[in-house]
Amino acid sequence: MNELVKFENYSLTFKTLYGDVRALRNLSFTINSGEIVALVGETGCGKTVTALSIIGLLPENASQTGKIFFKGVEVNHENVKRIRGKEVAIVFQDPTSSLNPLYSIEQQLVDVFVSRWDIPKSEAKEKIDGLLRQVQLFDVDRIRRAYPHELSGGMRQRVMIAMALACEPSLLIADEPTTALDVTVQRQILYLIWELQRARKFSVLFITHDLGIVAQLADRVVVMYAGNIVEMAPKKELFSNPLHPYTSGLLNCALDPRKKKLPEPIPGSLPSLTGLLDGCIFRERCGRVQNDCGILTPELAEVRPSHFVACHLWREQRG
Amino acid sequence: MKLVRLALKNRLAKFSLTIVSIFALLALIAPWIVPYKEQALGEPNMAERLLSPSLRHPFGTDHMGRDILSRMIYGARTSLFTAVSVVFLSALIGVPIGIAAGYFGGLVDNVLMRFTDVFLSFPPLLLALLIASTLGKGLFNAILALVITWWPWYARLVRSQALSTKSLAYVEAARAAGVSNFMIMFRHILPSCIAPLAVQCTMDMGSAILEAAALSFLGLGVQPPMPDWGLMISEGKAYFLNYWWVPTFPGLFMLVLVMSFNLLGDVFRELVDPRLRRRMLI
Amino acid sequence: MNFLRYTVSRLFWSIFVVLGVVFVVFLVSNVVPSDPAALWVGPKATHSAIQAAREKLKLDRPILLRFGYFLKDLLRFDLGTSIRTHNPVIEDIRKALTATFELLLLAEFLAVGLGIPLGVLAAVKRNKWFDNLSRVFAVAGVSLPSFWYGMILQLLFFKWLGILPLSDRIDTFVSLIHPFEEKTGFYLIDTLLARNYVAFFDVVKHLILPAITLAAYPIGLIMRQVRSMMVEVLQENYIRTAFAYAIPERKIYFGYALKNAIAPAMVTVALSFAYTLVGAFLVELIFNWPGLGRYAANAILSMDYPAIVGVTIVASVCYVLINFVVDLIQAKIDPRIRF
Repeated sequence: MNELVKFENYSLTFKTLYGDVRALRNLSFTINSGEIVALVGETGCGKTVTALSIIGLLPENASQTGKIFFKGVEVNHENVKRIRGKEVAIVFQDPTSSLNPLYSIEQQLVDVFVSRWDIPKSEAKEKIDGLLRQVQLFDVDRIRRAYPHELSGGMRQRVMIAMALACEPSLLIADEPTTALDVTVQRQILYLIWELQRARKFSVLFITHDLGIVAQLADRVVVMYAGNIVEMAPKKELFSNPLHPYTSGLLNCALDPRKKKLPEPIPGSLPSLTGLLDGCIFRERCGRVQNDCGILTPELAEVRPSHFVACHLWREQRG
Repeated sequence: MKLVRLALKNRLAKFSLTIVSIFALLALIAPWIVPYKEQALGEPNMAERLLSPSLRHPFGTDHMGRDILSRMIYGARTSLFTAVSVVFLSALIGVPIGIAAGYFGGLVDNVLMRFTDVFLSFPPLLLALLIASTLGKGLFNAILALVITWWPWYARLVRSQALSTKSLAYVEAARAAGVSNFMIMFRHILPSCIAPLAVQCTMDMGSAILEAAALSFLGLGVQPPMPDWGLMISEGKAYFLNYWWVPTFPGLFMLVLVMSFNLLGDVFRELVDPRLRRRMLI
Repeated sequence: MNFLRYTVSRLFWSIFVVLGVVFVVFLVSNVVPSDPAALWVGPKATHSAIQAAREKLKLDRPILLRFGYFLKDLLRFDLGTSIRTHNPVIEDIRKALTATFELLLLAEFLAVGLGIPLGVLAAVKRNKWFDNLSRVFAVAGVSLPSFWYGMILQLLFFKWLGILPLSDRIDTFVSLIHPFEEKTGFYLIDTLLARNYVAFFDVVKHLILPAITLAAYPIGLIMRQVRSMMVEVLQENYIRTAFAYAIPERKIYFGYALKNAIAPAMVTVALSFAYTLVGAFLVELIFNWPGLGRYAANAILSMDYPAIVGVTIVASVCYVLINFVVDLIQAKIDPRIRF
């Protein structure tokens, strides 16, 4: 397996009226070719920003340190344009607001084709039928002419996926693609992504806060908390053997119909990202705080094969 | 007040506010600082007709030999008085009607909205021109004409604000607690209208000055020999090709003052409009 | 189907508004003044003329009946006789209207052509120096007293630089030596139709200053409105999508975003038409332009009341029509509006 995307000590800060917001801190992880990586965490923990930084779509007030590699080449201001919308395609959370309301589906897909492959419009138009069928939209003639408001939420998300497929990407970023949809439609969309991935072998960075989805889809899981990676492991290993207190908390929170008890919430809420904190970012909500937690920032370390965690509890097991 | 504090962080707003204050001060102390008070109020001085700018008359003299600077400073009085009256009176009529319409809804509201729709269907200033010519010449009639055509705009603005406020939880709670309608309108709905109203009033000060000047220019507003910028430009029209300073300086004053009000309003608007402020982060 | 239904409903609405507008004008002209007849015949009228006007205006009848007569006259395009020119007001207005529209359309063309791209650029460069500069320019545009600004331009380009004519629609000598037939009333078109290029260039030269003067306000208005609409639209998710799919930037700004911003901005364009129409009252007076504005301004200056009422009605109806057209264009741009 070769590395497709690699984050190396990547940090991101937003300068705002209220001071500097440290959105991402020292991110290091990889996405290999052909694997599905799930990025898990609460809302506002930096998942979306992580995704957007791969394709260089950050607001102007962002400043970054560290490196991102794509296919072994460091991503910079110049070459990101060869990646964005070409090697990397993204499906956003809310298909309603992510499609342009004043352009027909055909126009929007044609524009993507044209800018990706540099082909004339007529040629792009011919490709749309096949594309829509691939995302299981069979009423092709109607959908081509339709405007986004004339389609259902699930259909819009299929159109978004079609847009991504048009790029034939080597990495598909799916940013909570099912959150805004009905439960029944969610399953269909997930299955579609899974199926397409099996057929085309692209990598997927799947961003979600839903552990149920992770359990079904992912090969590997990265758990984020307040801009930090706290744990990272293959799916089975993580579910059977969660090491970080935050991960266990998340797992406890998931509704399990077999249990009679209501899930236990994690006490407290996300810390402010403006201040500079020494020590563990999770310590204020952690049930197993030690002396060190307030002083030393725990580093991500491999404590079991392919299982990384950033927590002082597991320090002695390090190699 | 929070609005003003925020706006003052903006250099442009600070600059504009300074200029508006200077004009207001000039208008207030005009009688004590103008070099030729009698001429400013209209006394002709035929011996010194149409003199070009000099130390004695920094902006020259007009066709009656009057010192243009003195008349300009007095003109600030006329302009600011007109603008404040128009905006204040329009708001005074429009705000209660708008609040009532938004709060009670129903027939009152329907009638009011159809009524304002018709008013908004006139090109601006046109109806005021008609009314002013009906009422006859004079500053007071010009102000009246502008107020008659302006208040529906305020009613409309306040109505939409009242509509959105009246369904808020704390207003509903007050109503459930048996607070009288009048108290709710006065205590809860009126304060929520203050910010957008302040923006509107600031922006309208500039338009009021311009429209009143246009009326004066057409001979409907301020009558000679009163000092007024619109009138001075109008009188200068016959002489300006050979005596450029006669209309130029009064117009410049008007431009600077109107621009300051508009810049201030522009900054305010951006601060008040939440749609322009949202989304600091993705 | 839907579009047709929308059109019909807007049409009915416009008719209602026109009726409302006419009613307000009627009220102001026939009910508010203490002696409408005296106003109607002008300041220098004889006693018998006032009596005659009283008969004509049927001042002894009930108000609603009088409004009926007023409407009836309107439907027959009878706006009374001008006191100043002694012509039927409707005739005077008809002659003046083309001159005004030639000027108005050119000014509006300038305003839309400059205001929209500059507004888009200001939004794209939000808070950069270009944005700040364009803000000052736009605000200056809406703050300029047009009647003063026109004079300043005349001083500059006629008196000092000597490259443009002072006033009028065409040079008297040019029109004498190179006459052309007035087919449309639009001199630009008429001279071109007659292949009379000398006259054409003279007409162009005469148009420049008044058009620039008149365009200042709508340029500023449109620039600011397009900017704030664009700023809002550029924060939308679908713009992020377009960027994520590497759609060319120019296409994003002037296509994907502008199309969304332009629908609400159309209202401003319509409003700017109205401002320009009334702005022409003052500008035409300065440039001695034989249009509706100069006619109205002269009517006001000589208290020619029937003419003032006539102009008010015609201009307001024009404005309602413009709004009607804008509503339809908006519905065409935005498919969501019809539902």
